[in-house]
Amino acid sequence: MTIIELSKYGEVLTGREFGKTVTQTLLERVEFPVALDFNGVVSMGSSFGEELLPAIAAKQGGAVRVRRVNIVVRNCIAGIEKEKGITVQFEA
Amino acid sequence: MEARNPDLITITEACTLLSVSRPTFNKRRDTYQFNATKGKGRRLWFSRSEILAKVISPAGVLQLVDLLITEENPIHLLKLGDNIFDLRKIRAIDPYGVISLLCAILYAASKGVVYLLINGSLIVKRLQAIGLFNEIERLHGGTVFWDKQMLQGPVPMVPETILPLTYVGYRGAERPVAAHLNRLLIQQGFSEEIGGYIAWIIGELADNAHTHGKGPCYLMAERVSWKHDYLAIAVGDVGMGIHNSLKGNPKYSALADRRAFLTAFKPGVSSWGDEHNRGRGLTDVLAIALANKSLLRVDSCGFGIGLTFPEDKPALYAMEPGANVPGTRSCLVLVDRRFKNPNQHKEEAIAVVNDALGRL
Repeated sequence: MTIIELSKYGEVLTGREFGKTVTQTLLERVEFPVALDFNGVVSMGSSFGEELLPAIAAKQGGAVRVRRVNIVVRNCIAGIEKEKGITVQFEA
Repeated sequence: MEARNPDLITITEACTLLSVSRPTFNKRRDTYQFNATKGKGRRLWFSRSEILAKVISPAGVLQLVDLLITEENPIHLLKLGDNIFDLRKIRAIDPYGVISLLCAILYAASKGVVYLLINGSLIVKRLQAIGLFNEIERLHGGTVFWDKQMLQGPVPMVPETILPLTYVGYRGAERPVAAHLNRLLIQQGFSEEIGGYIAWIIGELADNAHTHGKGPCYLMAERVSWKHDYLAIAVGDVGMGIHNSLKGNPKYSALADRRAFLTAFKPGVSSWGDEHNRGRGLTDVLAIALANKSLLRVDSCGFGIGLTFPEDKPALYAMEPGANVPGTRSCLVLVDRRFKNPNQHKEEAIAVVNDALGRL
């Protein structure tokens, strides 16, 4: 399992185009399956998350593991999980 | 000639204030029992403050804070003609007022020369400290004029200002600003949670400004001085505006402007086609405001709405825009350590918008 530290892309992950850019970068470079580590990420917007999470989930049977999310990021991810019909496993 | 009482407005002006037709206004007049004063001839005059009190901010509305914009008046009342702004009239101003004022000046400056009448008052000095004049100078130094001698001397500290007027010039520039604001908030004793939600909100609103408004936007954040857990943030631009952008999508092109403005707050509604699966930003902002039970105010190209909680139930009411210029201005007053999960308020956000649409 590859752990992707999203804080490499910033403390604040917002904006749809930025979401597309980060997603594209990850899809080209990483080996699946991956888990997304949000340590150091203060916030994520749903526009960013909607680009990232479904694309990652699509490579992993519809599921994404996420780690070390704060309450704001957790709530954003939970909203996307419901909207997009993906499965998110929250880990500590 | 006797000066007109500024509180008295004609029927036409009242219709504009409420964004309703004449027949609808007449119905409201009966419902709310507006008092009318007879003027010369058959002209009837209505009290603007009475209409605001009874319709836009009805009794029993839970006002979390009083947002003051130049004595509760919109920016256009500062104007003497199209290109002169009398800032000496300002008695108090909040972030929404600052952003509205800036956008109004920038819009006027895009048309020609502008003059700002200022004095050495604390309010003007505060605007200086916030960065208003620096920003105007940077963008329109050759076309906006004011007496710079008045701004010489020490600039007062404005302890409530956490993030002064900040220019977000390109897509993505808001992210480090939001991260910086989060650090400032934590230093000032706010929780990590409020900074996180604010970054989310700024991200969505700034992304809208750049994507749909095709231009830069401005941010500002200020602690409410008499409620230390309350934080006001404002974002504004002079771009295309919400309803103009939305109506670029043929699906919504036939909507009346005000209906398009409100419809944009529903999920999945976007100027992009349905196949792009976009259009959640404004719903998220509304859901966060509902979850926090905070004050939200948005205006765009002459239409304005405010989120209030009459008898503890949320509702969107028409509000006079701070500045009747192109683009969008948004303001939230968030309460720290009072956030609930916004996902649990998304259905409520849809219901609140549908209720407002039903009252059009």
